[in-house]
Amino acid sequence: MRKTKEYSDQELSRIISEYTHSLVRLAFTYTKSVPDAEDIVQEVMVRLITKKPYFENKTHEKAWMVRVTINTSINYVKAVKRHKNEPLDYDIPEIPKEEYYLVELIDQLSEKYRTVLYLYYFEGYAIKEIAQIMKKSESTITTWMARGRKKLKGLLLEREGEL
Amino acid sequence: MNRIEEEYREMLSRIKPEESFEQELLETLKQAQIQKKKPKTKVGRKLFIRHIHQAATAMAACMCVVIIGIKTPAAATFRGFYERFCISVSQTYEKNVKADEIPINKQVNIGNKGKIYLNDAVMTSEGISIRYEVKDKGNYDDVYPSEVIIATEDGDREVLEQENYIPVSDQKNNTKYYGTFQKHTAEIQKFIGKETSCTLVFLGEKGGEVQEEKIKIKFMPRSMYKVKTVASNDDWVYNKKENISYRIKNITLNVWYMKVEYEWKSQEDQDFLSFELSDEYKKQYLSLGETADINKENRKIGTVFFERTDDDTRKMIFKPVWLKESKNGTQMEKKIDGQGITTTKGE
Repeated sequence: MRKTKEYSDQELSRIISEYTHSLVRLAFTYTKSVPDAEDIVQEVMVRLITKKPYFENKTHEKAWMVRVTINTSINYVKAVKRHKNEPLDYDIPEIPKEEYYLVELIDQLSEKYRTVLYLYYFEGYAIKEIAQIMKKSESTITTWMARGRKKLKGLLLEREGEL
Repeated sequence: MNRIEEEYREMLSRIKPEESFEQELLETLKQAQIQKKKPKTKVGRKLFIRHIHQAATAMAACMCVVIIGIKTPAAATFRGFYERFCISVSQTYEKNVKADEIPINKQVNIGNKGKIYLNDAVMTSEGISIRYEVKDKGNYDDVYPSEVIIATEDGDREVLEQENYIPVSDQKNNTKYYGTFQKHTAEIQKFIGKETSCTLVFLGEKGGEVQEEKIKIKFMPRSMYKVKTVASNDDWVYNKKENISYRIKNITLNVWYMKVEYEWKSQEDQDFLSFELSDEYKKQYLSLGETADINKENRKIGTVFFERTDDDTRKMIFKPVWLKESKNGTQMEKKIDGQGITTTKGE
């Protein structure tokens, strides 16, 4: 079932003010660039108004927005990667260079671990909500979180050993 | 650990869209609803389409262009980015690789009614190259390879990431590609002469959703094709008229194509440089596709893929061309008068 009517200006304003900041941050964790993350969010919003998916409730709407942002961001990363031999080069004015290690550290985690950790620790989603977004069971999400944290800890210790 | 989480959280809290973004987005969406047209992204990639001139070869193959469309948003750290992949329908282009060929000849189903035909593969010193055909995309909008996982019963396992995929033909629903997946020689060598399980991961895109399609095959690679560097160079050529300097950095010969990496310096930040290739007998070679980035001052880099030059030639002559976009959005190319780059093939 799809929404048949077009979105009113009020509905669009509500969606934009409710989701833009968190989706830009989420897309940023993949793109490492704010303008690219903004492009991804625009793409997601355009998909929303053209596909007009039907949402049972607010949680469903939120889950759709997050999932499409993740997929669009993954596509972006794949597209850049498949045409470049070098890793993504980034220049993030919002972050001082001495903090880049954090981005690089988190980047070493696989996509799924990074995403669940981000959604849980930063955006404050419950395991159940993350399971809905990622279309996985709650136990899988719990396992990914545990593994992600363990891997991150290992990387951190490794880095501290090198310093 | 908690400190890292806290630092990461604090760092991300500084990531915010531009102040005007929400308002601009609202206007863009309102317009998109009225015009029922997909709006442009802020820093969208430039996609240049160049119709390739028919190569002056004996083969009079009809020429056509296949473009791999960019469906994803732009790389903002690059002030410009363009790519295009194209090739003629040329049977003669499909080089014979009998010496190192691993025949596969297997058709597999993907998604809903999709079909991929795997022709053959070649283990190379830089990974693995696979020739495949997307016979039918099924319910997907786009299908392309992502990675290859190879493993033996002895416990050796390597994941090779896709480097590129180049179309060989533009026949509808019957498109053949060369897919290249990278790894270092040492990691590939151990698979030679061993029964190898191979999982080819393709990605199917449908309305923004991405689905993994895994294809499992087994083969025994008996030899390895050595990817050769046929020339490398550090010298710049300066063209006074255009006020541009350029150099061909590296030329490598892969199983089915030749990869040419180059750099340029110019004041024209919105234009992209590429090259045409011919040999000492004035035969022109097909450009199979290219990518280029303008990302930082004095660091403009590009890669162009050509068909392999004939074995009996000694020289490769690269003529620079500008790829430009005019104000009305049309795409054009302009040949640059003056000095090209002539390179002698090494062994």
